[in-house]
Amino acid sequence: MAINRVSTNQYFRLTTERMSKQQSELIKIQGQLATGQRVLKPSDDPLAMSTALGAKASQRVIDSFQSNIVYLNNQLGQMDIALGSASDIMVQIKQTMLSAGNATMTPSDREILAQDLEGRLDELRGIANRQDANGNYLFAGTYENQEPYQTPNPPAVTGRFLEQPNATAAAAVEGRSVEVARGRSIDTNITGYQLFTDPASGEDAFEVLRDAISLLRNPGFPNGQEGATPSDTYKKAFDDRRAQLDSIFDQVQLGRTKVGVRLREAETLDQINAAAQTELERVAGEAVGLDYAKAISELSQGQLQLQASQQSFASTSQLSLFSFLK
Amino acid sequence: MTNSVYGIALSGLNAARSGLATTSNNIANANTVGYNRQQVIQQARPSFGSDIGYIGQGVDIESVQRVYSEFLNAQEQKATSEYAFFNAKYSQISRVDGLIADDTSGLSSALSDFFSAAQTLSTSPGDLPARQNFLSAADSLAGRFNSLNAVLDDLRAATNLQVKDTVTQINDVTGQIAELNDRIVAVKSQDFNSGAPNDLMDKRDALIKQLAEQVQVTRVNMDDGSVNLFLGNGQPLVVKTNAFKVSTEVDPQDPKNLLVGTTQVVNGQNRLITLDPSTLGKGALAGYLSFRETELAEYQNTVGLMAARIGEAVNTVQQAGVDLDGNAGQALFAFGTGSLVSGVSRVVPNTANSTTNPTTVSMRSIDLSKVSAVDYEVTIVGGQPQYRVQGSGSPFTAATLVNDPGGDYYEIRDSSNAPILSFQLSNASPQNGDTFTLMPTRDAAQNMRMALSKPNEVAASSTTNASVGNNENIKAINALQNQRTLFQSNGAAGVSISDAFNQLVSKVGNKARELKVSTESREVLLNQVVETRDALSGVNMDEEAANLLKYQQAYQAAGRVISLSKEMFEQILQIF
Repeated sequence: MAINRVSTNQYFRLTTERMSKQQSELIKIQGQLATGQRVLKPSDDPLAMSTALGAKASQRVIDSFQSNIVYLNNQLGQMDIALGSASDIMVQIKQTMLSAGNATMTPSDREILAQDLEGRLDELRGIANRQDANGNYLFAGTYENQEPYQTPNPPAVTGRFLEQPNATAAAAVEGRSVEVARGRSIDTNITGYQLFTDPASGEDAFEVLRDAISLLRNPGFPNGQEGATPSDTYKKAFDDRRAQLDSIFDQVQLGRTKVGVRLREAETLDQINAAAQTELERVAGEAVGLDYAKAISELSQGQLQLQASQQSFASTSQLSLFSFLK
Repeated sequence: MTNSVYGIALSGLNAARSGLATTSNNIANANTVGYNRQQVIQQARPSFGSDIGYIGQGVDIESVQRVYSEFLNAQEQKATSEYAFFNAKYSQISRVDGLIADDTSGLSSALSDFFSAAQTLSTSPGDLPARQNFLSAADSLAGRFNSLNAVLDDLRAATNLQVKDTVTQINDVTGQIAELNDRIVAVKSQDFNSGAPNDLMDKRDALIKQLAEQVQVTRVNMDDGSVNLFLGNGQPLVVKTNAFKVSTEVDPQDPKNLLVGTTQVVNGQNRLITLDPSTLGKGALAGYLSFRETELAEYQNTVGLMAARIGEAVNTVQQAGVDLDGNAGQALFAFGTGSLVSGVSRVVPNTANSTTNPTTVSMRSIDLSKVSAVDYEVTIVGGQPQYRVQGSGSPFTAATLVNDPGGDYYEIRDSSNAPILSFQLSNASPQNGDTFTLMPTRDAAQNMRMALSKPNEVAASSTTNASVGNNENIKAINALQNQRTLFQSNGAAGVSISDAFNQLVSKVGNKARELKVSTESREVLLNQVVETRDALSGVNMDEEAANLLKYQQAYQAAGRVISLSKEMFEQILQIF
């Protein structure tokens, strides 16, 4: 039915309804401008809202990966430094061991060497027992609250390594890893067992060093005579200790390399994560963020329309036949 | 002759005066709600036949009629109910719409925080502050589930309040309509005039329109001038001068539920026969009830299902691990004080169930990986329970009886015949016709809480040896964050917990949007009908101004005729 008759009430109602619609549209745009968000509630754009929520959740997941990487860098960095020092000490130990092989040494020469080795041993044990800022032992594997190489008491007693002296068990407890990217975990630690144990004999550096020290002090000369050529047994025993220490040195070097590889991977993943963060930021922004230029132009257009409606209402509402009746 | 001229002029004066009065009344009522403009129906008096032909005798006022279309009125009534239905639903859902995606009340950030805390704990599983942090995050997660559920409960309470208001209005309006029926019938039965009491009828129509906003009614016009009104299911609301009350009652079995119905006498007792939103048709009452029983129930069940599922999954991992003291892990989350099944589910019997042969239904087991966010309606047929998904309208299926030495029970099974849940009846021969509502996950989000008291109790380790640095088990908890099999319903591909929440947000958003569009389109329809009706029946001031002039001139002219005929009469007298 075509409307060719308009009631006065209808005219006022329609005009005010139209104006209030225009006003609510303006308020919506103002809300968008104030928050910088195009989508304020899910119903504004359900797909965009759920995309943005998903992106935000992923960002938070990556945030936790990134803080794991910070932890990892810190932990592995400390290990790297410790292992650097350990290598230096091991080099010095190797030199000392080499000179100890010299047959023309007097007992006091050997005592000096023995004391030198004792000093190195303490340094090396200090490194093997190094703690992080929280007091956890760096090389204790998952037994981080226990000192891996306890000070012998009495000092002559061989240092006790609390990890099980068993390669598979040691490898199993080493495996503390943290997630640094979706589906990728990096080991956070390397155990004393892996670093300071001779894989062939299963003896650790401290036992070997103590043996070497005691050999220096009691070389086992025939008839206990000083100056005599050391027995073959002594030489063999000393050479064996040297070989063991060489192989432990290799273990330390290997461990250092592993730590370095992990640090590099962590750095790469850090960059990948950061890139993913940026991308997710963009996705979320694109989904629910506001196009200011568009919103501002919509705002001014809306203002213009409302103004036009108001003006036309103000002028046409004056039109009444009654104003002509006298 | 002059006598007849006087008579004719007088009839013109009268008609013009009535016209002026009617016009004035139109002007006065231009803004009265429900007012239909009125017009004077004039009719020429039967002519006086003479040998020169018929001579007019003046004018009669046949009636004062309202300009009214039965058809448009019915259209408006229908469009009003339609609009009110969608508007009621939209007004309720828009309250969840704003809240659910919000970072402070939504689940998204609490879930992320929980898993972040697990990640942090995985870097230092022996660290007490990190453990405490994890427990706090678990506590906030449970708290967020509680508060999200509370938001939905508040909305339920607000919806119930609206239902109550609506029912009050319905009763108020039907009472007034019954009273108007009474007056209209009384006025019409006094047949001193042929007209109808326009103003009373306008008022009644306006009230019926007001009623149509609250509830869809079928209108039957009776010959005596009264109207009878019926609900969609055929129950009478107004019959002649009687108004039938709709009542509300707090469900004695579920204080959060408000029952709506009509009180009827069953077996000599007053019973509330509840109104089903599906038979109510449209109108705000149906809108509120439908929102409460469809959307709100689904959202609350979904949030409950998420709480129960993530709680169960985390507990399973936690219980497989070892805590800092070397003990097996205890459940991290608990649901209420009893079992998980009783803590997450709710069973509500119908108020109309037999009291002489009472039966209770208790939930026995729920497979959280199979159950979906629905409620089940269970009804006793032939002494056996049958069920269907509530609101689905599909036929009832018999629940499968399982004989068990610990007590026989019934299972609701999925399409591949695997049990979704099982329940027991307290009564071996339950009363036929008794019904129960099973809500498998309704209470989970409300009852969820963090159950551990000491940070040592977090089972971060996978081994009982004293390795405090073992983080295998906490990493297994972490892995739940992206486990795609966590939420699988109805054989659909599984989603992770955060995706499940995103799906809920998107579901709410889509529904709100759909309802917004429906509301707007119904509004357009309603406006069109109102425009058409107003175009026909509304007062136009310019028209009335013109009418005023018209009747004024008619009055002046008729008056002039009288003075003219007076002059003519005097002229005749002067002759003598």
